[in-house]
Amino acid sequence: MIILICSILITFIGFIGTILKKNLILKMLSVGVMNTGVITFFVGLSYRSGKAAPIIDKLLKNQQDLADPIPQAVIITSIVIGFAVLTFSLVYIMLLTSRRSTMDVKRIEGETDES
Amino acid sequence: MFLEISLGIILVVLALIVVLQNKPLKAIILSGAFSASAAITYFFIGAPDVAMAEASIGAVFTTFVYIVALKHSGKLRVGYIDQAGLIKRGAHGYEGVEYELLKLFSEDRAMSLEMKKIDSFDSIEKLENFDIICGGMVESTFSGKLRDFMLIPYLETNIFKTKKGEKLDLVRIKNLVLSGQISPQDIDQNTKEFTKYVFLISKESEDVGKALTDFLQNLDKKIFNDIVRRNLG
Amino acid sequence: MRFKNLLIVISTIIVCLVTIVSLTDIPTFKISFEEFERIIEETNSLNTVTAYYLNYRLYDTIFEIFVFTLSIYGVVFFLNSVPSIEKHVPFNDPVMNFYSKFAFIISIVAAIYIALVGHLSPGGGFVAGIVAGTGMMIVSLTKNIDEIKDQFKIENISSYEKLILLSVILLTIFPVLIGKRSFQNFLPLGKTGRILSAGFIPLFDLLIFLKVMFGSWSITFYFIKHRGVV
Repeated sequence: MIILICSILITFIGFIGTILKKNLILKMLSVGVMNTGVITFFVGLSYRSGKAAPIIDKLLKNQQDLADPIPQAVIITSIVIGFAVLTFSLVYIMLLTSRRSTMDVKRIEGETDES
Repeated sequence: MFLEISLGIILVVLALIVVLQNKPLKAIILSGAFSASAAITYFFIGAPDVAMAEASIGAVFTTFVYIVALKHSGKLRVGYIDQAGLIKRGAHGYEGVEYELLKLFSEDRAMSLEMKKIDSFDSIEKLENFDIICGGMVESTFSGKLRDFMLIPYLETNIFKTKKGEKLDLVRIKNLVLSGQISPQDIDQNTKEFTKYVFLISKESEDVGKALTDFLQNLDKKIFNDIVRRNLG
Repeated sequence: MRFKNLLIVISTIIVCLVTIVSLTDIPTFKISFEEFERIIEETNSLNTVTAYYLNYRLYDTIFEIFVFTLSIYGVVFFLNSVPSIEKHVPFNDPVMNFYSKFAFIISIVAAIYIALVGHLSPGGGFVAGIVAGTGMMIVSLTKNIDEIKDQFKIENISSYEKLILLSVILLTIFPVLIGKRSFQNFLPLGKTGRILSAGFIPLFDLLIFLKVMFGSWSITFYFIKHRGVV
């Protein structure tokens, strides 16, 4: 339960960072924090069913209190995919910054400070 | 129970630190640490598979990719006027006080410098595609005249009058005397005027100006004096 | 502007609190040991996480491999439009040169081990591919770009990747030809606890290992080619 609460806190911290940061690299890092929060949520879900890793030892006849393998199986593939997609967006950021020579979102979009 | 609480608190605090960082390189290293502690957490709460994936990807590979991508993240377009001691292209690349300050600043911000030579002051108002213009600019010459630029002072200097009525600053006079174009007797020693050398920052790149002001204020006095002594004597 | 930011932070905190309060509604499933015994009986894979993502949820995993391949193609395609740097400066340190080769061999051996025992212990194809990719990354930090090209035959790698993708698709539809359902584990299950058991799970682990290794390796190569070493 504590892990679930922490994961939701991490996700929303990353969310606030994604919205409020101006530098594109820092924005992507905040998205990474959000991603880790979601992974932690799924692992926390599997931890509610049991505390031991869901790997069976064939010598032990009756293991109790094993974690739920389904959330882990769902999230383990998404880590690698998240890495590949993050690299892709970094390349896109690199292209953008080499043309505009800045990483600031405001300068790229040509906005002026409204306040 | 204690393990869960402590690991969760570590994760939340590290996430906050990563998000609150303003310098990209520090934030990247800290996010590597965040991923590593997330991996430890997963190992202890019964998910060794996920822990292995997170440790190998988040802590090692992502950090590498971010650092390579960050290199030369954006260019600082610098226009300069040759002025020995302040900024000049020598035999071993650029040298001078202003160049060293800009180099430290760009390394701090993970930017690369794009240097371009300007010939004279006259056409400065037309030059809009520069972030910074430097090369012995004096505050009193420009104050109030330029609308498209902001001035950032960094070093104090004096202005002397020559007998012909020209106003020249200290470094410029020194260079002219050394090259023999004017003799020391021509300089009127009594008309001293205190002023400052400045960087001209384009109004379009206001954030660069703010960052440069911050950087110059926080710069170690010892390093600054060392740079000045090495280049100007 | 400041007011807008404050509004965003406050509304996010409210949503966060509501989410935390509604966490109590999530039901808890207790899984009995009989369930795990059934999984082992059906797949012969002691690591039940692997049994799920390479046997029961194979359809999902195949499409995740597709997404991975596509984003690697995107990386290579977009990086080719960035001009490559003229002067490539590798780390030129004798100690580093020697130990990077050593680390490369160790990481490849470890990666093959992790991939092969993915159904018996933690690990699997995805982790093994990244471990091998890290080894290749360490070697390529100490070499010139032309040396890397000669050593790893970089022009062949994209064709290997296509070959692996094709064989993954063929493996999933092959059971239809011999009268079984598609995505069905058609190989013999073998004896529990052996490396060559659990049907096609070790085979898929090896294929995913090669796929992720080549993918992460081409990310490293094109990043170093177009951006230079740190």
